[in-house]
Amino acid sequence: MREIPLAIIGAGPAGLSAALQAAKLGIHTLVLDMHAQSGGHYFNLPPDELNSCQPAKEEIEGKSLIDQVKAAGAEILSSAEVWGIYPEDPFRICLSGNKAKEIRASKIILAPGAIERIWPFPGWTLPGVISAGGALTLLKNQKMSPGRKILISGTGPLQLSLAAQLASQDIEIAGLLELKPRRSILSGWRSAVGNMTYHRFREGLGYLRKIQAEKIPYLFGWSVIEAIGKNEVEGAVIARVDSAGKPISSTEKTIDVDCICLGYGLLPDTQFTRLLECDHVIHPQIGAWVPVRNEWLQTSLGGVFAAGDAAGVAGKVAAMLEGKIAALGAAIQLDQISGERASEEAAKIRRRLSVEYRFAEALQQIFSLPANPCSLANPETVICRCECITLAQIQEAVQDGATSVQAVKYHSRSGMGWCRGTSCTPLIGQIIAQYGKVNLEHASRSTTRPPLFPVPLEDALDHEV
Amino acid sequence: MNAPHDIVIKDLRLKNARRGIPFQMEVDGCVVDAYPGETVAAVLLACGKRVFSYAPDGSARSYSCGIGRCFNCLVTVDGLSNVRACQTSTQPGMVIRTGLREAE
Repeated sequence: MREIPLAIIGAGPAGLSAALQAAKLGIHTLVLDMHAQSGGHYFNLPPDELNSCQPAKEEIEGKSLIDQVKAAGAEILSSAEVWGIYPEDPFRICLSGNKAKEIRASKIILAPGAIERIWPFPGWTLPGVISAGGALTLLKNQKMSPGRKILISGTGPLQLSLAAQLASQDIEIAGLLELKPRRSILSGWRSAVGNMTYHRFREGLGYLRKIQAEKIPYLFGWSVIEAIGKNEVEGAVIARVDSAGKPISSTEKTIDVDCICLGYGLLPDTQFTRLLECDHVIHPQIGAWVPVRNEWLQTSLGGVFAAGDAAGVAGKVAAMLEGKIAALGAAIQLDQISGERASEEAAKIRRRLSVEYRFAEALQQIFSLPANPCSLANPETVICRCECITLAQIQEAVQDGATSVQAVKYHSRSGMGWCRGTSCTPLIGQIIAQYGKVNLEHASRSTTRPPLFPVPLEDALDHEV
Repeated sequence: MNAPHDIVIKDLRLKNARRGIPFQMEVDGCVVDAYPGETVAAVLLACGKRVFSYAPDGSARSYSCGIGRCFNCLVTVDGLSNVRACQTSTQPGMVIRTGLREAE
């Protein structure tokens, strides 16, 4: 069983950036990555055996960052999925999927990234309905198209990027549906443009040009409202939606597609910070938990830091800057850098970080979602996908007095399936707040316990319990 | 697209990739090709098998998030049930069974 000064969970932009900074300061650092291929979900690197003929610039950047991290002396442990963290001294980190079952670390930087928001509608659980991130992972990590004729629906810049990338691989796109009306996006851009770096402006413009060049139907104020098929997607019903996100039935159209990619924005993956019972607040724009952090990005639990999308969804540049700050914070505690020097370094980083935060906030304003996350759902629509709990069952639980995610779980079994509430918990919190007339903080309360996912018994043996 | 189990019609694999030498594995009793580096999920999608398992109410489930967090892509791999297809690398001779959730 290994003991190290610093463990970093997650090998995406934040984790890798933190590892590079820590290693440069001479800290013996181990990065724990659940995936077989490092790089996380932003870089989406293909495995070595699936080489790109023309690597995209993210691929080149991601590979270079990994090389730098290794050259600086940090180690990356792949296929090492954390199922438990016990706040002992040093911290006990339990792993599955790897020969190593347990790591002890003095300091931890949590950088697991984000998960996708779910916006349920009839048929959303059908095979062939995937998230925009899931489509990008298939495309870039596995060099595979998600389908033969794709419908993209949701809101935000991620699906724009997806459309452009699918089109550049000659994959047929039936349509790109943006929930927000064009006028609200255009009016929001004025504040966003003021906070946008030139390269980002060019990037966005590039996507738009590609979509125009490929003549992809790009509809504003539209959404998928139903996925059709017996056991898999065979078609979709799309419609105009009003400002509350409700379909306008006179505009309904049925189209022939075999894959629906949904992009409703990202949520911070707070499973580790919740497991460790760190303090959280509801992020006013995201409408989900984010951990409370000090100026070094340390959570309310001493020695545990959180960096990147896992603590707030501000994009890749912010994630890398935060990774550096968290590493500096851990380094102070490990006596590898003086407080003064660390503060000098951090001051420069924080100036750049505030630009990123402002842009992220502007984007969140522009692509803000309707208040009711079930604007497209009907009572029979499944909310907890693992246990098949419907909206009607959740509302019944709320009527019976269950006003938190935890209480609804006891009442209905939601969140007790394979994903342990990863997918449904943020959504159920918002449903309770809507129908139960309680605030989102109260509604979103739930308990997280190890193991974070089902692990084989052999992964839990050889431990002192 | 309901592809017959033993025929790969139009492949979903992108042309913009250099792949290694394919090997064989078994999916629901049929021999299929897989390329080094491909996950079980990718191979299943490539041979038209989109139904990976059934949820408690009998509805079909498949690949969804791609990052191993949603647990919808569960299949049986070499006799081990409820394995996430999107997080499992394929190996020569691997035996996959779909359509099951609980122990065989």
